[in-house]
Amino acid sequence: MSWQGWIFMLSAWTFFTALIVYCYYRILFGGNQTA
Amino acid sequence: MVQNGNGGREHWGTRIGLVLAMAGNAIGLGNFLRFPGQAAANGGGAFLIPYFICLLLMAIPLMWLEWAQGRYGGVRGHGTTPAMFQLMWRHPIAKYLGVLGLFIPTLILFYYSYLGSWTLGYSIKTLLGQIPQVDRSQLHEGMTAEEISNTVLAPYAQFLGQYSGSNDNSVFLTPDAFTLVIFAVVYFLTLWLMVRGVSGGIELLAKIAMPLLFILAIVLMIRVFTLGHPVSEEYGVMNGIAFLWEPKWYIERDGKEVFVLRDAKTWLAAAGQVFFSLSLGMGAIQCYASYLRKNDDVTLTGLSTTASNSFAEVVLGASIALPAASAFFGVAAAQMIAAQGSFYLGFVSMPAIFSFLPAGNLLGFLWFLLLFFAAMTSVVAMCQPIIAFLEDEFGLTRQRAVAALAIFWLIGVQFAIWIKGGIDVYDFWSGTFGPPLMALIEVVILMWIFGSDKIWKEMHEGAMLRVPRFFYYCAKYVTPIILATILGFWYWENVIAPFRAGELFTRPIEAAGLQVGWHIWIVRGFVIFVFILQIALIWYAWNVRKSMQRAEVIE
Repeated sequence: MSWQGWIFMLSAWTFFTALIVYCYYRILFGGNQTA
Repeated sequence: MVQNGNGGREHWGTRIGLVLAMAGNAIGLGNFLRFPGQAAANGGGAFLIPYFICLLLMAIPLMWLEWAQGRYGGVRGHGTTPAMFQLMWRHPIAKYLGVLGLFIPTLILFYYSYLGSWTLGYSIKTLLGQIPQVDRSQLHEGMTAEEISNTVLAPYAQFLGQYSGSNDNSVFLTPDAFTLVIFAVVYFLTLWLMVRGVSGGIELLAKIAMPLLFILAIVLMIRVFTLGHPVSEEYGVMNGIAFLWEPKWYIERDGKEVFVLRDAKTWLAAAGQVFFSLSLGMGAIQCYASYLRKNDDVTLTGLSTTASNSFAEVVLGASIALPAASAFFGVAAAQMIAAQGSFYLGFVSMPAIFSFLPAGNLLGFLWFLLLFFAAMTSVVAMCQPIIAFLEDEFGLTRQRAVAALAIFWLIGVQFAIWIKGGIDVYDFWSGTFGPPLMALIEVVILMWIFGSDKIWKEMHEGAMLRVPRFFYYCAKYVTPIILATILGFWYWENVIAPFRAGELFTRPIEAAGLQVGWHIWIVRGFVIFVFILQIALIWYAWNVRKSMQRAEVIE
């Protein structure tokens, strides 16, 4: 795979993995009504 | 553990239950089958560029808007879009435009629940070893897609044909008794969950199925990534990954090289995939969000839905079916195989690949179980708007609303089970045409009629995350323009161009390799009947019962 491919894939993976970890971390351990 | 508010509507039990249920609503067969199929049919890396643009400029703002709209309707006692549109736009037509939020999930339920039952049937058959096995020696280096289809994949295509009853040339389908029994299992399991309610049924399913779904997908992804070069040193799993991720700015259409951002078909496919995958423009997100309390957060939890679905699509879904096919068949053949349809990739190519691997039956079982969890959590999301409409606007108890759904669903699914092309007719209206139209109506009502500042303020009530201002301008100006352009493209491709060629009633069906006959018109007639029935129910709820006219906050 070309370097552009690696950059495209790894940046997309990093972004969505970070986003899902951030959201779930804050929802589970963020404090503050439903529960 | 049903919790009722002052208005008698249910609420979600826990925040993590809500987040997993919403993720289950969005994550479905679209992530694991439709995405690789669409990507392969539209040039791989060329597809991902418009896909990410659509995700950023349309899907993310729309997800927040749908969450906010759902909570706004829910605290006023309404869980479906006819009443929500009317609350936000006091024009007589608003409630009838909201019919799309009932019509689309109803049609999707009719065919998607049947397809979802195939995944359960296949997982049982695979575990019991009742699925064809092909000899690894039949697969050679450098075979064309046609040679592979005629040798290695033929027994699996035959098996799928027998399972769904489509092997002969009749206009009717004759599925196996096993197929029907498995659908009955899915049907009754779903109805049982729906009777248990939002917190006791949907949330219970999500808490079990969603963690398992992520674990199964990661296990299968690791197995695919460790395939290496199973057939030839010339091609392996990384070629499939490269096909998907190497940015391509030009795509071949009708023998010509076209700049990808100027290719209407790629944009249509990308936007359609984003909608279908995220369950946007269907009324399903609003319905789930209507069971929130007045000060529950919608911004962080709304973002978590988008994040979960995108992770399941571009990290997990992109790394299983297409790379596995590329490793065994080569990229060119895998592309042809995937372009034959998402189900060919999932139900024909994948079982063949697993038969080449150690513990293949177990891996195949895990693959179909993953698809079953993905499908089931979406099936219940398509049921809930119908139940909510009957409960909120007709005052039915939940048991009676589920009984009404059961009858309606049983009638609607017959057209998908027995008529060749029934699934395609349902999918054409609810899977490709409906959602972008619904989304455009939503965004205009919310950002331009109800008021952009008002909805933004509403969205931030109880918010745990401040939405960047970029998305405000995006939702107000960019999203509606993109949506209108996409609808224009769609209208051109599916109405104007076929009309000029005299193929208005035949082109979409013939594009799916089927013939238009009286059997297709029966399904179309039923679709029109469903639409008129739902319009009539809205008229009755507004004019006779007047239940839809309630607009005060009930808690």
